[in-house]
Amino acid sequence: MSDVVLSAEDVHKSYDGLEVLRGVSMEVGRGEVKVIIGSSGSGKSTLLRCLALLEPVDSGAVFLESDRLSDLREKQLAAHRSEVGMVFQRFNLFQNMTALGNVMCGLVEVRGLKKREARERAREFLARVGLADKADNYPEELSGGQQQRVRRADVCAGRGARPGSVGCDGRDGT
Amino acid sequence: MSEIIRAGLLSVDPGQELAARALGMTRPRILRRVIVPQAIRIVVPPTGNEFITLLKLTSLAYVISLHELLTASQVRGAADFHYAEAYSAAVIYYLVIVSVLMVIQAQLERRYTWSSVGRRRRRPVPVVSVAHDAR
Repeated sequence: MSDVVLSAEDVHKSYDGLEVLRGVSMEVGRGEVKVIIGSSGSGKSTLLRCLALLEPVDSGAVFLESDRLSDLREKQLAAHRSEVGMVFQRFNLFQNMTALGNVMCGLVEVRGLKKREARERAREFLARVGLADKADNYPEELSGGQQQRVRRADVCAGRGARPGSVGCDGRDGT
Repeated sequence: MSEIIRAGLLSVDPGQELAARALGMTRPRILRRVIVPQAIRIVVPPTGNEFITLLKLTSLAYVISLHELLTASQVRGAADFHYAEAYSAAVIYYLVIVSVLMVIQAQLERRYTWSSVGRRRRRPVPVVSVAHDAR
């Protein structure tokens, strides 16, 4: 039994009276891969959003390691969100930044790295996903799969040696 | 003008804010680094339009007996009945000022174009250019 990194406990969530999550509990251990499968509209994305702390839960709780995060307020949450990486269904890369800028953004703005270090690190991770030559291209010039790889590089660069977990929304085409 | 800015801010894809929040950025940072730069691209063309219209409308200031460019040339022309010359001078002044505004606008637009230099012209911005000239 590996130690638990991210877990949900009896999570309830509803939008405008429509109950989407009814008491979902799950655990993700270190190095473990969990797949959530369900038909369209069954709440897969909602669950991921709750786990990524982007949506407050109605009841129940989300834990990162042993911290009960769903009770925190918006201001304190921001810092913890960076611990949970998120690849969105439509990737949502920042349109006003190059691929390199996108990967650097989280490192500079959130983790407080120096620009030079962040650039080196970002280049390294872009190279890992095979996009070293696309570093200076803007998202609208990249294909869907390439955008997804940029997002992954971004998420992985942010994690690095630190603990954390990654949620991938939508089909993984590659 | 405020409507132009409002439209610009509203036009930014909500997914952008979501992604920034997921990264753990704080609200002021999200605004400064993500939302506002993207809104500027939408806001620049109609704002340029607004400025140029404003310049052209200065000629109406004669109504409150302000001695603006067109009135000046009228008075100058009336002095010796050389209207053509006086008005031509006014035309050149207007043209120069409008051209300067246009160059500034073009440079701003280029600054906020997000495709790598020299590779491909950007797609036209999907904004209905508002005709404020109906006055």
